Order: sequence, then structure tokens, then C-alpha cells
Amino acid sequence: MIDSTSPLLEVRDLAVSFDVRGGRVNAVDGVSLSIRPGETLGVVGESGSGKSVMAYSLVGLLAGNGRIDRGQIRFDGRDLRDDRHAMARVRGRGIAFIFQNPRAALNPIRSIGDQVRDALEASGRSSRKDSARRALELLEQVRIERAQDRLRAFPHELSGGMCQRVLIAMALAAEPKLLIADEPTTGLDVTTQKVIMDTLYELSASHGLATLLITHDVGLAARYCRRIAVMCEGKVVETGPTAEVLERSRVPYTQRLVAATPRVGRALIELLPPCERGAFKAPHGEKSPSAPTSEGFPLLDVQGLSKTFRINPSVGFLTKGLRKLRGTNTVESVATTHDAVRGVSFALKRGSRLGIVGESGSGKTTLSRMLARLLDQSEGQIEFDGQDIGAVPSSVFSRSTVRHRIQVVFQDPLGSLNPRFNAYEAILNPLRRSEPSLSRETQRARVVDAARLAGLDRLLLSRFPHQLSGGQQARVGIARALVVKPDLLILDEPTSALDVSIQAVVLNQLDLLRRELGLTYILVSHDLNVIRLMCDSVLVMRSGQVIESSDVETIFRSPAHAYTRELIDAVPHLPAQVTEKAQ
Amino acid sequence: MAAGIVSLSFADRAGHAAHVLARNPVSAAAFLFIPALVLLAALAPWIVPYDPNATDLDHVLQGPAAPHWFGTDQVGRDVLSRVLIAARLDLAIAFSAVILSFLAGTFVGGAAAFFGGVTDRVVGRATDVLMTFPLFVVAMAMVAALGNSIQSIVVASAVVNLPFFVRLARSEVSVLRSQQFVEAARAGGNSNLQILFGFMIPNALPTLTVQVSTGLGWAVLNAASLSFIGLGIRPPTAEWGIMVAEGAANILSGFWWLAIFPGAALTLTVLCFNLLGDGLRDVIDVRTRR
Repeated sequence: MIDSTSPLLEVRDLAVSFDVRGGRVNAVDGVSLSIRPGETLGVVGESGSGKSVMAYSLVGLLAGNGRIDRGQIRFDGRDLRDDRHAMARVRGRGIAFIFQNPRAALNPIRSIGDQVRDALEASGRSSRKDSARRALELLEQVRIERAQDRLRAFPHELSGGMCQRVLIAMALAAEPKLLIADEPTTGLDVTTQKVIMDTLYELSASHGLATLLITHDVGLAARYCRRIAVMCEGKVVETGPTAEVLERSRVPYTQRLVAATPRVGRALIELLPPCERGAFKAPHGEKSPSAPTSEGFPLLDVQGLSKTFRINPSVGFLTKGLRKLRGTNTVESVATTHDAVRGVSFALKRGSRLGIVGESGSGKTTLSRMLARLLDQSEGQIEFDGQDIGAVPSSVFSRSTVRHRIQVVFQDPLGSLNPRFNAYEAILNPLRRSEPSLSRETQRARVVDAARLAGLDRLLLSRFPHQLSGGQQARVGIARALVVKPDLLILDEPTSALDVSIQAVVLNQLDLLRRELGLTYILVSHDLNVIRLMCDSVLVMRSGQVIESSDVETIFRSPAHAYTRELIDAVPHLPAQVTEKAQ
Repeated sequence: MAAGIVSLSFADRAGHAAHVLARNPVSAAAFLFIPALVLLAALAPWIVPYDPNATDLDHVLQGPAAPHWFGTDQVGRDVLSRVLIAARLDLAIAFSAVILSFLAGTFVGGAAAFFGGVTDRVVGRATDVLMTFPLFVVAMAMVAALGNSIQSIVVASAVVNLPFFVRLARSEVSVLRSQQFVEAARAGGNSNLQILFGFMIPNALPTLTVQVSTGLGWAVLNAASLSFIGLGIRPPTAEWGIMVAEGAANILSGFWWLAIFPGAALTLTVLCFNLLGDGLRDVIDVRTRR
């Protein structure tokens, strides 16, 4: 059935450019690749490498200012590029697409059953009569439980992972020959990612479906693709069987990308290319310096910390007043509550490195916001260096002397910077609040010093956030936290928005700081590989509770809780032999 | 970016502005006309050919011709001089009124969104109530109550413009409130007021600027309308609304220039303020960027 000789999709010398102010920008510059029927090809590359644009151009979904400059796209023996009608016929039928943000790709006001039926009827694969039955079958195929009930559900009633399955069902509706998946699991939890990718993998095997998987995650591509193409700056720098590309690449870019991906058995410093390691080397070549000092009381002592959010039904104050007057106030009984964090206790010694890991909704960010006194706890105590800071409401904590001893590095490097402050002003702001009486020269010296510590070139200090790259923005965020000389740093997913090569540098910078300044930090992350490299001990959170806490090696070697094991298994690692050979 | 926050350096912004205006000549015309008008109004006392209030009974109701380009009125005053001098008054009223409502509206709306709760509800309902009245009638009532003076026109125009600024500032700040840099500001030790004035309002300014431009148009029209119906400014002060009212009676007698020239000045000014607003929106809105 599958003809393995002639390719299903063949792209030759494809170039795409965008019309921007002051000229044209080449996003894709001479890409050639081919996919045989039933094959899974992974396209990996960092942001801006042109991988998504390439995929969109294949099916004619470029933005209005984009155009294909040259090249050939042949699908199933037909030329798509020159024949617009062929492209329209193929789109959604021969080639199906699944998108990065599944919820945004679904119509919010139609039930998912109707949307799958729309896809079925639009493709002409089933009539109005039997589309309902087929829709149910498809939802069952993508492993949606209680599919019969879910037919009537709306996208906002389903989780992100569920929505992505609905999209896969819609893509399968037309019985396509090729499925293009653009970062299908980015933004989903690792366990959800595993289930989705396993489903996709099995479906493509059972349907003889070819898949083009676009991803920034080398580990994910390694696990699910037999062949991969590496893209960089609009070009495919390397194509070949996965193992060969990852293990024996001669292309420097691929080597860098593979090396920068955190995985088992590699030290933090090894994420960097050898030429960049010098700046981050430990002074005496020791591997794990200055074990946490055990004497004295802990820097941070947390007892029974809980946060309960009240979900109030939307009742206006007039209604409330009227009900009160009439004596029919039922508001209290209607209000529901949600326990975001339940009874978390731990102690943190000076100089130690704690990781908090968990999936979305596990309460890890709520916990870190309470520790940083940005959110009031419902119950429990937080003692910092002997002071009961949990007793100070977060709204007046800005006046506390402890405010500057606990600093936060936020998740979104760009979003956490005020667009109207340049880097200098952004770093200066907390310093002016903590020590308002400093002279201008001292302020300047402190800001420049913090920038140096964070690895931010001082020439960049006059730039505004949008003029900085993602890695530079992250460094501004780190410098801003360091400028007030904190004792405790809370890092909330500090690198999740960054490309792996930049992540490698930022993580090494953080580690260098810890060694130089004796910082204590709490690293919140969903990425177990990062936690493993950066922390001594780990709290594993699920549904607001700490289900396991131990030192990092124990957690990874012999996890006590089934959920921890599931989390560890779900992380797509590069295959072990790559670990040894890549270099 | 999700919230569409604008963050551009000056050079960047100027380059983009030139790009937008080059594609949109009508906006470009407004960008040129408004500064020219403001300049003319500012220099009016020194450049007008005649004293705007000097009567000349030998040359009454002369049509537009050489010495009097816009003609003369029924007591021989030069219409061109009066139109130019009137621009001073009308623009001054509009600018003061809009500055007042901009300052008050931004603060009230920003605070309502930032502090939420009861503050927000009270401000929200008060704005709603104000907007249920026909706004021009509110302005009339206020001028009637406060007495016929320039100050009362300014106050009335400011109050009528206020709800728009309150609502806009409120919606801008409520979007900004959920931005991570606000949380970061809190972690950096900024107090609530420091966050509101240092982080929120500066980021809401670009959008509010557009509203200022549109508001100026409304305020000019409002001032002229009030004096047209005889409230606020009294003759013989040169003012567009009064001039149109006086001239309107003479149009049927064939003396069209009395009403047309001040009317055209008024129309052109309001139109250009609105176009300026549209142009600014395009310049500021990153979504139109390429």
C-alpha cells in the first residue's frame, strides 16, 4: 500500500520572504526536503529559524505580507506552488495542519462535536447523516474518554491537552496523507505531551500517515522521528536519520544545539560549547563547591502554607445589599473555593538550592508568589531569617526591610520588564526603592555591577526591552533582582521562554552567581532536566500538595511516588548513546 | 504581544510614523494642518491685517476681495481677522478643557482599575450615569448654572469629555494590571501609588493621546455650539460659533461669507483633530506595523 520509493511531499529550493518596512526579509532561504508516505520527519530549530514559516508556506497560509519567491512544492505528484487551486484542494484534505495553541485554533462558541462534524462535511468524507457517528469514532480514536458526552462540550470546558486531541481528530477527519504538526505540545505539560505524541505516533503508524513535526525540542524529535532536518536562519543545515544527525553531526550548529539540550549525565558547563566555557569555570575546578552550611537556623522556614481562592458567583453589591435587606442572603453558601496550595512545609538552609517541580495547576507558582510576599497566604507561617514575614500582608510588604532580601526572577523575560524603562532604569528602580539616599554615582556603580554579574554588557544598558534579545532580557531581569543584594532568589521558570542555547548560558550564569555570592535560590520549573542540573533538593507538587521531597539524586534514581516516576518518564530525553558521543 | 503594549524608541517611532503617513496622505495633511493652525492662532494678534473689533461703517458687507480677503461684516469688521483671532479663543478653551478631563479622567479611571472593588464600582456607575444624559444638554445646563463665562465653558466641556477618559484609562490599566512587569515592580519594592504613576499610566499614555486628539475636536465643537445658541461667550468677542450664528441670518440675503468662513474654519479644525486621532492610532498601534 505504501510506496516507499517516491516521496509524498517534495520541497525543492523553497524561499519565502516578508515585506517589511525598509525592504524584504528572507525567512526561508532555499529549503529542500522530502517526506515519504508514512514517514515522520522532524524539523528542529530555534526561534526565528524559519521552520514554522516554511510549514505555513507549504499550504499557502502565509501572512499577507509574505510570499514565496522561488522553489518547488510537489505533493502527491502535483505541483502546489504554481496551481493555487491545487493548493486549496489539498489543504485540509491531502495535508492537514495542527497548531501550537490548540484552544485558539478552536471556535469558542461551537461545541467540539459540531466542529469535528464541520471538518468531516467540509472535506466531503462523510454526509450530514453519518457525520455524527464518524465524529464520535474520531474522538474515540484520539482517546478522548467519555467521547459521547464530550461531543457537546465547548473548548473552554476542556483542558489544553483535550483541545489538542480534538484538533487532531479534526485533522484526521479528512483522512489526509500528510499531517503538519507545528509545535503541537508546546505549552502542554510533559505528561500530556507524552500522551498526545504517543497518540499521534500510533495514529500515523496505523493510518500510514506521514507527519512533519516542527519542534524546538531536540529530545522530542529524537523520540518520535526517524529522520530529522535541522534548520537555522532559514536554511536546512542538515538532514538525515535521527541517530546519525544527533550522534555524528559534523555541522557546528547541530552540535551546539544537541550539546545545549539538558540531559542525563551531563554537567551544567557541558551545555556550552567549549570555547564559551572559560567564563563560567569554577575557580579551582571543583565540581560542587560550598555545600550548604548546616549550622544555625534555616534562612527560610515554611510551616503549613496554604492558599484557598474563593470563586465568587458574580453577584453585584446592590444585589448583595438587597438580599441582605430581605434576609435572603445566600451568597455565602453559593461561593465555592479552590485550594491552590495545601499545607506546604519546608525549611531552606543558607546557600542551598531548592527546586520546585510540578505541572500546570500544581500550585508551584502560587507557592512561589506567597514566598515572595506578592500574594497573601490563607494559612501558615513563613519565617525568613528568624522574622515572621508571613504576618505582614503583601499589600504593605513593599515597606518591609525584608522586601529587598527576597527577590524574584520572573517567567516571561519581556513581559516582566516595563516597556518604558530602558535596561538601566529597570535595574535601578528596585535599588532606588531600597536605598533611596544613594548618590547618583553610587547608583550607577551598583547598576553597572549588577549588570556585570548577570552577564549583561554595559553597552546594552541604554536599550529598551524590545531592542534586546530574549537572553539579554532575561539577564536584565536577573540583574534587577541582584542589584539590591538579596539573600534569597526565587526563580520562576526563568528560562522556559528561551531557546536551549540561550538557556545554557543563562543557567551557567546563575550557577556562577551562586558560587560567587553564596546565593540561596528556589527554582520553580516544569523541566526536570533543568532542576536536575541546578538544584540540591526537590519538592514535587501535585494539586497543591507536596507529594515528594528529597535530594535531587534520590528523586531521579528512585522516585518514591508513582506520579514522580510518571513525570520523569514523560520527559523526552536524548537517547543515551548520544549522551556519550555527542561532542 | 498579547496586550499590545507599545514600546518603541523615539527614532523607531518616528520612522514608523513616516511610513504610516506616507501611505495615508489624508492623515499626513492633518498632521501638517494642526500645528499650522496652532501657530497661526498663537501669532494672530501680530499678523491680523485689521483690528478684529474695529468697525468701519464705510465698508460694510463687502464680499471677499483684495483688501478684505474674507470680506467684511455688517459693521465693517474684517472677517479674516476675526476668524484668526477666534481660533485663539476656541483652541484655548478646547486645550484647557481636554487637559483638565485628561488629567482627572486618567487619574480617576486608572485608580478605579488599579484598586478595584468599591472604588471601581462607584467610578463605573458615576460614569454610566453621566453618559445617560445627552452630553450637550449637560454642558448647556452647566453653563447656564455657572454663568456666562469662558471658565464655565471650559468646565462644562471638561465634564462632558471626562467619561471617555475615565473609561479608556480604566480599560487600559486593567489590562496592564495583569502584566508581569507590575508584579515585578511590586517585588522591587514599589508602593501602589508608585506602580500606578510609574508603571501603569505611562504605559497607557499612547492610547490616551489618541483620545486627547479626538477630544480636542469635540471640545472645539462644543464651545462653538454653546456660543452659537447664545451661552457662554457674548458678542462682540470674536468666536467661531457666534460668527456663524450672526452670519447665518445673512446667508439668505446673499452675504454668504459671514457664516461660511468661520464655519469652514470650525469644520476643518474638528475634521483635522479627528483625522489626527486616526493617524496617531495607526502610528501607535503596533498591529498595523510591518
